[in-house]
Amino acid sequence: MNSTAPNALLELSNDLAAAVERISPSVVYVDASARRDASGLALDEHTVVTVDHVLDRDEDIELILPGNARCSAEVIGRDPTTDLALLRSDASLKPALHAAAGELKIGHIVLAAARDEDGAPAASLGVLSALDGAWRTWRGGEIDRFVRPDLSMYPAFSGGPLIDAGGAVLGINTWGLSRRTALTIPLSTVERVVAQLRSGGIRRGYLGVAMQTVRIPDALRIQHDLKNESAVIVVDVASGGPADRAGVVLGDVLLGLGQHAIEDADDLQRALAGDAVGTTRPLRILRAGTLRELSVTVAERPADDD
Amino acid sequence: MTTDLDGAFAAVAERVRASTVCVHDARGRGSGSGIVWRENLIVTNAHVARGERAIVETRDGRRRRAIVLKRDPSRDLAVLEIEGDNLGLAPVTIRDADDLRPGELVLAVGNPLGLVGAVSAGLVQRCNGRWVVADVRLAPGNSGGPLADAAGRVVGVNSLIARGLALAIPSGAVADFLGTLGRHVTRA
Repeated sequence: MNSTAPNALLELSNDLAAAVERISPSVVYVDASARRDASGLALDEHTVVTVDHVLDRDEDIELILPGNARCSAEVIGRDPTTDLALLRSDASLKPALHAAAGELKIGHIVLAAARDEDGAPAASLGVLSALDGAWRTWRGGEIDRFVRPDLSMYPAFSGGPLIDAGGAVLGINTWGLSRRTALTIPLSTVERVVAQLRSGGIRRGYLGVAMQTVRIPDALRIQHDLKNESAVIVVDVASGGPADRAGVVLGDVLLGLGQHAIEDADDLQRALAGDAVGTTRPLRILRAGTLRELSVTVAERPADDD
Repeated sequence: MTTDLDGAFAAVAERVRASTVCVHDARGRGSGSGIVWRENLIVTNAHVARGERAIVETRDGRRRRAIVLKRDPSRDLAVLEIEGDNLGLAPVTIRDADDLRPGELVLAVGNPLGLVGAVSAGLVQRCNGRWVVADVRLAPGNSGGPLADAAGRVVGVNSLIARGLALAIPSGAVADFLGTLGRHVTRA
């Protein structure tokens, strides 16, 4: 083979470099922490999405743009539950093109893109290593799909995009959702959370209880014709909180809220997601073996309650 | 497509392997890698060729003594001339590393961990003039070996591992280093 003859490998190499070249103008360095490097992706001329866990501060945030120009940015909104944050800058950014990605499969070639503190673009190559269904983060955020790329995620890669070999954005990479591995927050989740952050933030419903999962004895299930195999027992009630005001007491077993059956704490968090804040809903409970229904008004979770 | 790609990868890797040698110190101990830059002329790291002499071992096991023609520890480069008749080693094709784009595929060939002609592949992260930084897994023994592009053209000399990344001396710096050598070196 002649040394410069085109070959499939060279074509792939050129495609990969072209994909990095296409996304690079939209990838910025985010300077919001003395300890952590991070990148962000421009969604439109003045908006950047990044990951929440790299923001050590809400003010004095700077972006380093392609060409090494610095500009300041302010926080539009943060969602620690999905580890996403939205920033605004007066500088003119080049938004990422939303090329449609094909169906994701394990083994697909993927690239992570980032920007260094010195303004230089960086990239890393790997394959999609694991894909699974929707999951909930350790902070209760809903992620549409479990996406784990197998590639070296160097410093500054958190907050940068994962792209396919054609340059389509697949999601935002983060070290903030698992202690052991970098994961990718899929684009659909990014779009949903960004829309919520733009419209004034993520409102998480709040009852003011701590709970544990308990199995419901068969005798009780038959006696009350219950569908739940398990439920949650209240082990703490925040004084003056929504549950307290509704009359929930220590030891109550929560079976359902509104249309949602509650078999574990995840079910209750799902029941409190979306537009639950401000609504008054029936809360079905078991107290001392008897079935009762209380009426609870869902409040917004206090900001300092994680 | 898969077959094309695998075939192309194997062909490119094979060509780079054919131009990669093992470099030992004068007593035949320690080992790094070297690049057949020109006929009988081997480029390696200064930290691989520490003395005035070295031993070059080809991948088919032939061992030859070599003289260190020039050494620059500040740039970690050395060039050796193999003594005796021509071994018929294929010189590499050189590409200017300044033309590399982040995201291009690259492969490293060397003798890490006692393996001969081992290949690892990855991606160019950036080139800053002083280094080609690549997301390629290297190990001791890769030092002095080639970093090549997807066409098998050598873009750098693998020299350092930093935070898991491969750092290679760009081909342009090697050309500058070799610049003062005559094209055909005669020693008397």
